[in-house]
Amino acid sequence: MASIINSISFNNFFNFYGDYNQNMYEFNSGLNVIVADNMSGKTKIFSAFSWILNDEVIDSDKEINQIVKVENFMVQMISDKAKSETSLDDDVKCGVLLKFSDENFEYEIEKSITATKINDGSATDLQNWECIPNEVNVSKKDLSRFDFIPIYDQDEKLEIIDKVIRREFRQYSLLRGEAVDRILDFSNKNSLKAAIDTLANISKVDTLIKLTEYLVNRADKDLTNERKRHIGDKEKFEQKVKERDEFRKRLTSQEKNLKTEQQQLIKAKAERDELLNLVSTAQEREKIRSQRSLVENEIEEKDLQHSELLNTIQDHFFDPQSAWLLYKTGHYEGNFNKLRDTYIEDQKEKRIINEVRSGDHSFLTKLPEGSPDSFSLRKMLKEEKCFVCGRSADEHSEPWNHIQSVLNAHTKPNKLHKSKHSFNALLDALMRSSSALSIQIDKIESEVSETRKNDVKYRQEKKKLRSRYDDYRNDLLGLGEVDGHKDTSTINQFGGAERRVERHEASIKEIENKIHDLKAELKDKNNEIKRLSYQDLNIVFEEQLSILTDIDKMANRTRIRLMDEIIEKLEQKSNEYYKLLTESSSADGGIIRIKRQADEIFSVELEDKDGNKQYGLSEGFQRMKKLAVIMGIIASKEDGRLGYPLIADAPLSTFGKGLIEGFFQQVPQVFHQSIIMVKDLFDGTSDDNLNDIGKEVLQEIKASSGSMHLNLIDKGQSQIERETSIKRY
Amino acid sequence: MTSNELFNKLLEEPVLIEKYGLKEKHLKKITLTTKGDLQIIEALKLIIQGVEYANPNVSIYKQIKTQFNLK
Repeated sequence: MASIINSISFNNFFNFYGDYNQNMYEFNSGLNVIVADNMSGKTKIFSAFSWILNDEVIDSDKEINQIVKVENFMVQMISDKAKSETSLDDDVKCGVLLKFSDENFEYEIEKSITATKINDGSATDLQNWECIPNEVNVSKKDLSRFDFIPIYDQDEKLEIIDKVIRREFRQYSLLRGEAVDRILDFSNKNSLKAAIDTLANISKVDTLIKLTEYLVNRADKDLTNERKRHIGDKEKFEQKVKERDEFRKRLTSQEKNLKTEQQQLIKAKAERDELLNLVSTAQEREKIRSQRSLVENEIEEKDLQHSELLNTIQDHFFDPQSAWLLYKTGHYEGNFNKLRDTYIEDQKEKRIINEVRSGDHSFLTKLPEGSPDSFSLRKMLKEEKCFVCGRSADEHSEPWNHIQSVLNAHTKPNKLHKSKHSFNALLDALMRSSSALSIQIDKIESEVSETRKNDVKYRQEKKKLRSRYDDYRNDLLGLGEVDGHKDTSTINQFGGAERRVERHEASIKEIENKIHDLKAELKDKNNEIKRLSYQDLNIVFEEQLSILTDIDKMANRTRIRLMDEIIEKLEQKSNEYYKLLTESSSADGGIIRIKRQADEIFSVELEDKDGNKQYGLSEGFQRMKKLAVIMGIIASKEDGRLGYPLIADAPLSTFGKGLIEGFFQQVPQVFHQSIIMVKDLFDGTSDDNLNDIGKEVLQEIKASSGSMHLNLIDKGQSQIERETSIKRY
Repeated sequence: MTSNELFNKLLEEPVLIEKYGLKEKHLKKITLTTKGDLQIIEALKLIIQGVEYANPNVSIYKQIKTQFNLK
């Protein structure tokens, strides 16, 4: 019989300031959505349901939301604004009122607390308040009547609260974000088993198995006693029984170890498989980081080499051994020589003029135009011939002496001119010192060119390296850059899980061998006991034990068959929902496979159509997988639809657009009423605060049933003044 | 799961045909309430009824022993 939540309202509950009439959400059957941005009260609404059903609320101020008992959280639950308006010794009430109905009755459940301000001071200081939980108010009204009748019987009150959502279904009906993952932690042996128990009441078979085990033990004891009665050598018999019991004990212990190891193996495999989705990306990121680090080192090295080259350029300019300062000054040497010659000639002229003025006319004997130079004159003297007129000039003859006097006049002045300001010495010194550098000037061009080439080379290499560095950075961003330590930790965790898988597999093999040996030895011992006691034995005891042992085996095998049938049905249903939930997504989410890993341990995996395990699917798909299994559990049990509402807080936080659409389309198919608190449909920039999917969902709701509300909060207000306002679309 | 459903599930076990020589036709006729003469089936009925009525284990075993004519 389906129950429908008609409304929930708040009285000074967290940010919902004011009385019940001011803070009310009205719901219908079908899809009911409460859209709210972060910090706008989604989790508070969920807390309100949780208070009514479980006496718990969510402490969302903690980094990881924690479930806390209401009795330990009363002051924090009261609206800060209401508290700040309460004077010393005055009271303030905080409460939640839930109205729901079934086919015959309408019910009201109110849970509330009253807080008294006992000290002056901060309204948020816990020490300043005394809180008392009020009596839970429950009342019901026949749909054909007008008045509600208060319920006073505590058991009846609890029964009515159970009508909202039956206890065993609350874990599937009250979903909160990541809690979906915890509801079905498939690595936990009890998780799926609990679900199957819920589905099939398989606990009856468990009771049967426990009973048959007991019966086998009793029959075995009776048989042993019967044998003892017929035995001759009682001492030997007792010894054999003792030995056999010891083997049995060891066998039971090893079977227990085997189960533990199998469970640990499943857990390690689940952890490894879960990490496998992350580790390949983490390894890839680590590889890129390592390559990026190499490039970083290369850039550093190139930077060093480049700056060394640039420093060398400076050295070339200021090093006395280097001529780079004279770069492009080669032409100055020629100019210098010309100017020096001019200077010397000028000096000579000045000297002659001075000598002439002082009466020395030796320099006036000027050679005519085109006269030979001193070299030619010396040659003339040597060859005793005048090259000018072509006549002979014998040694010490008049022509020869003339040539000699011309040479003397030319090369050996009578007096050395001494100038007060002669720069000859300076110019000579300059010439001498520059001559060493002047040789290098010609090489400067090629040296500069070589250096420039190296500079360009370094710049290009550095540019290439920086580009490679940027590529690595972009690759990392593409892979979802995370802290390097986290990746190292993921890789280490994966390695650890792999080692654990290997260790447990080896242990299982070892234990299985031990069990095999123990069973063989036990059989031997039983035969020995049988041989010792066979005379006059009442064989009915043997028959009884044999039949009860067979019944015990039948019970165990029936349990396995039942579970397999349920699993098959669950797998089929889960896949139906998984397909529908993920059909709007472009990625192939694979097929859900529920596999028996050991006696009572199952794993839920995603495989492709060829039976290969699918790794690397997004968290959204993983969550959808679990949601589909939850829907499958409900559908298997409740003929396709759950008679209780689904109340979910932020179940879509890791879903993509396609998955969100699928979720809103399929949830109404399984839950006759759903109340979903989401941020994913919110768009603060839109006129109606809804994004495209939100608008579509609203149209769907308007076309069928359900409701949509919007929570708004003035985030500009201080926490103490802050209140949530509710808008119904 | 009702007692009848559980009983019928148990009757599907092949050991009844393979070891105890029961025929499928015969198995289909067996119910929790009809009296039979095959020890294993009668013991099974006692056990399932014991589970259903939450009888103490000790008394269920006593009933089985009586059925086997054991003291």
